[in-house]
Amino acid sequence: MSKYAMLIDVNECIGCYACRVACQTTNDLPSDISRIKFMEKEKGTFPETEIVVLPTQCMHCDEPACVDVCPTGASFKNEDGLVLIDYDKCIGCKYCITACPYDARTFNTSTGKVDKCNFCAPRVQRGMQPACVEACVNDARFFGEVDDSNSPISKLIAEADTAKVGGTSFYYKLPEGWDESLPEDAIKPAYVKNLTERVHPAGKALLGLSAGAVAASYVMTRVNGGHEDEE
Amino acid sequence: MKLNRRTFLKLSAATASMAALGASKYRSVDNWASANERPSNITTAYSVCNSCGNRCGIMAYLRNGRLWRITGNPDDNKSGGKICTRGHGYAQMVYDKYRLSQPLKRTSDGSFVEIPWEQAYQEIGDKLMGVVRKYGPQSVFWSEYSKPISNFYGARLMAALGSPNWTTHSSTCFVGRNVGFDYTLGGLPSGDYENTKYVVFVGRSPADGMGLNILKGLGVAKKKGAKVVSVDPRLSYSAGVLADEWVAVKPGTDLALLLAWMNVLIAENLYDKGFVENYTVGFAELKEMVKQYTPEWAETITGVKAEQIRRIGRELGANRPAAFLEPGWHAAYGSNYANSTQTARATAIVNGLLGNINKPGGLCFYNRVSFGGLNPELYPTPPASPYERVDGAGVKGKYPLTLSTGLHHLLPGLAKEGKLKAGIFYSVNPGRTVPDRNYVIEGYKNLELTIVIDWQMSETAEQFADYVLPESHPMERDGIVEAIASSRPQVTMQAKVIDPVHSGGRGLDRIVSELATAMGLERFFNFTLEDLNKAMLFPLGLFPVHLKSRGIVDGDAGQWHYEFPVDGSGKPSLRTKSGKVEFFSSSFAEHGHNPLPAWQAPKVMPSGDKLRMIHGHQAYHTHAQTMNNPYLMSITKDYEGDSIWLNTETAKRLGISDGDTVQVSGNGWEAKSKVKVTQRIHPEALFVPGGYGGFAKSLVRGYGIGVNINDFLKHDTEPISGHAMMEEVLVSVKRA
Amino acid sequence: MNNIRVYSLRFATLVLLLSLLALTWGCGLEGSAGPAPANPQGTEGLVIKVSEVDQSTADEIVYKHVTEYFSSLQREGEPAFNLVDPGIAYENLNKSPEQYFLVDLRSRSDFEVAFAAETDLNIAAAALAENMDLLPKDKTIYVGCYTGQTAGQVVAALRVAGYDAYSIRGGITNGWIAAGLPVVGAPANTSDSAAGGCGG
Repeated sequence: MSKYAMLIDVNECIGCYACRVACQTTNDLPSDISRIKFMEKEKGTFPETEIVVLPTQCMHCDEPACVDVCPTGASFKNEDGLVLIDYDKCIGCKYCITACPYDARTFNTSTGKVDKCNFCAPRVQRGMQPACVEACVNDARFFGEVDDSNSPISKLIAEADTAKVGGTSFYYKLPEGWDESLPEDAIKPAYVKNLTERVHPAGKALLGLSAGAVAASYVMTRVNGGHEDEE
Repeated sequence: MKLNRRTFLKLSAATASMAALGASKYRSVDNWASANERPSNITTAYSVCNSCGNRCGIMAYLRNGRLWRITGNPDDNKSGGKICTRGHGYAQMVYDKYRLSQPLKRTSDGSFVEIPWEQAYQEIGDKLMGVVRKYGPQSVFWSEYSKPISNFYGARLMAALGSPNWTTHSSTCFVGRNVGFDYTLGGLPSGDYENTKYVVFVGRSPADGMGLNILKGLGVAKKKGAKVVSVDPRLSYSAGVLADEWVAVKPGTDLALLLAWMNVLIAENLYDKGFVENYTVGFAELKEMVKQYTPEWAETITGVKAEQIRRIGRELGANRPAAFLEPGWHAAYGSNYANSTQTARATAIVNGLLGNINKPGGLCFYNRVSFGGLNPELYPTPPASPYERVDGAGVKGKYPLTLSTGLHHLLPGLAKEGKLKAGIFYSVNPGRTVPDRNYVIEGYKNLELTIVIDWQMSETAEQFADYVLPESHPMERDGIVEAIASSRPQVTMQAKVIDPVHSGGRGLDRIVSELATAMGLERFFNFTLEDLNKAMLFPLGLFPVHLKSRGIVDGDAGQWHYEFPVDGSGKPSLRTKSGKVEFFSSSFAEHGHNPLPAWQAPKVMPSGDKLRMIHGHQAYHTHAQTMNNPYLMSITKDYEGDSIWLNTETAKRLGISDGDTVQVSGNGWEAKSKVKVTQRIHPEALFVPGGYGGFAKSLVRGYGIGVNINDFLKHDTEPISGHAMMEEVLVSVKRA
Repeated sequence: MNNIRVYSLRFATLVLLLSLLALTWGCGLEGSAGPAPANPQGTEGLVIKVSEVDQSTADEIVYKHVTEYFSSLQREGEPAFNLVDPGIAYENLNKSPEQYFLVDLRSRSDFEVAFAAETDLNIAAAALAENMDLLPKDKTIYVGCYTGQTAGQVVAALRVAGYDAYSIRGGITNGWIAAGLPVVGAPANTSDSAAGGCGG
């Protein structure tokens, strides 16, 4: 249901972190906050050892848990399938960080707000590729529109060895024998289900309660926040 | 800001049912992105990356005049339009709060005070001339991490003073490789990656040491079915991701593997007979020598199965001439083992047997443009020094075969002996990057005058500099024009991207010229960097403005052909004595070295619980230079990049588990480190990632992080190319 | 002469139009105004702007700048007809190389015999259309040829395009060289410096 998708060809990822630093500079992030994480796995016995590096970031879920739990409506999913944050509304409560099944959200100490990959929406708007895709030194990353069956990414997705992370906008091409390293399908944590399926529709009373907690958290963030980066 | 309303994304009507949609005013990428963008004026400028010696072309994006981000220059054959992790991080250092901004002078209590430039020039000039008068110009040296700007200005300053001692970092980096290739192939060719069918990396890891053009070329070749083999005691990211096959060689025994490949190629008649007949010398001697070096023999030395060695030998032969052994850099034969120079020779010889010189998919001596130079009638050239180099490079009876870039790891000892009295260190940090910390520091402390020129502090500056002169950051200044050798030769230059952040820093061209003026040597520096660049570009019909406006410009250096180099009369003209590939080196024989690369064991061999310490690049650090880079150091912190590596079986035997803190000891040095237990490394090796173990207090982000192989090494020198033998060390490890 | 990659004429025309627009609209343009290096972010936006200008507006802009050019020929305290004395040009180029830019329009063979060391660019007048990106927007441009005739025409076009350009009185040959200002001949060709960094 997403319009845009990203694909990482794990056969080509050399774990160099160029995407991480290019993302940080492009998006004005502090040097110690990254939107991309890397999982390295090895198997076999010397000298028959194999490795893969699996970069992960916001998967832009079809039904994002982070959006469900956001008390202010700052996190939202837009028409193009991107999960974005309205920074004017984000109060830095970090509820979404705990709800994300992919550990894709971080707290940006320089802004006091939550941060995550937005598929470089400002660049995509200009018809450019996300910074991580542009920066990848070994052409392991692909991004594009999936509703266009002729786009390069659609063609790659159509190939047999590409796997989708269920319920997200993310695809991986995995080396032979590494199928099990695919991140699990997007499944909402149980408490998120409770919140959305029972509590939310039931009434606004509880929402008011959580908003109170959130306000307290906001004050705490302000008190703790604002310090510079570095050591 | 005024918004650009045209969007390249044809926004289709919403098709999905999304509960959260109504909650926001930002319905599409377009309006969210617009609302979240800063008003800005974005401009671009071209330059060259300085984060390592590859010098890739970059495009810098400035936002309201401030450096924002960089990308690779898509026109650059070297970077292929990409820029690596280190480059992204290095560029940002221009705004770092730990940059040097004023000249520093050491006071009697050992601390530094800021002084004005004029005072620095006056005092340094007086003292340097004092040393020259008292001890002679041969007692002065220049030491640098090789860069075009210092290759020119450093060498010219030494010549102006009358000193023969201009030195780069080559003896702790690539000298063994260069000497081995020079006396076999007459130089260092480049791989024709895009057209190759089979490539073997012996020790080098382009995914860790970063060869952006190699990654790009391999990507093309692999799509066409090329095979990549990595010979490495460690499953590097090249061996584990780029390569189809990993040859897990015992460290220091690569020579045996190469000899076995020669044996297979000759014994099974897989070598290129026509090429060997026409373009090589010494085949009969080589054939006789390698008879004994069967794959079965090599298995006993290298630990690699004979059948694997034989199969790869046959595959190399089957794919020639579009098959090659990559010329490598530091690891297997740059400056690590007692047998390194001969291992480099052996690598070059296997390529000779494959007959791949200047063949599609083989090793090519590409053209590069010829630059002009300053007109000596207007700009007098300083005469060459009449003295012999103090380090013995190129000196008969010492190291006659090595490079003119000298042997910098010998300098501390020569300072202790009193043969050197004053030195200038440019963008180089021997305090951390040369083996044997105490030998280096104690040796250099004997100098009467030590000057460090750099844009950041270093172990060298802290431990033994008398003066530290702040250079501006490369983003703030022009450099010297550079030639890129390729089938399409190019010309580029480092160009100023932003106005200086600190008014105190100066470019090396200015520092050297002004210092020379303070010493009365201004007649050799009566030109600006711009004058020099114009003179160099003159024969090409180019001006600096061409390079600044376009970043990379194609240079005319004659048409490239896939042909063995020949002279006007059709005779082979490689830059060797014979003009041919020299399997047998009469130059080596003449100076008492084995003219054939017969098997020679490394100086020390692991046994029992004594492991060989090995080291290597990470894709996100350049030696010790990046240890205070917040972007790159945060990767180290997030992923424990400073951990040493130990093989799983070895660790089990020693009772060590993954994540333990261990104590490593060897050659009288002890250090603690976190350990990564992995199947990715040879059981007899202990891997230490390069550059860590910072002990300069002012480099706060890297201070005390990790360990460094140089601390476990004793000063030593290999006799042929004179390198520092940086992996001839055994260590023991136990739980701390 | 050499293999410099050239941009299409369309781009050069675009640059010229942009220069005109930038003058009219001041800083209203987002992205980089004036000659832009290839692929700056935001270039796409500029392309649209230009296409949005209708013919009558464009005519108006051109008329305005041509009129301005003619009135610039006689200005209080400025040299008439945008001419600069070679001696003053020499002095300025040496004193403030970061503010002045010298273009020599003569043929390569004449250039090689004798040229001003301060030269920043040697290019044929006809080749300028495709090489406008080589001219700095933020510097005063001195243009020289054999007599000043060609340079005068070039300066006129450059001024309309928004550059601060002056013609060297008498050109390089009959002005600069005739005035006895320093020139150099073809420098000797020497080998390039020793290379070899360490990346891998």
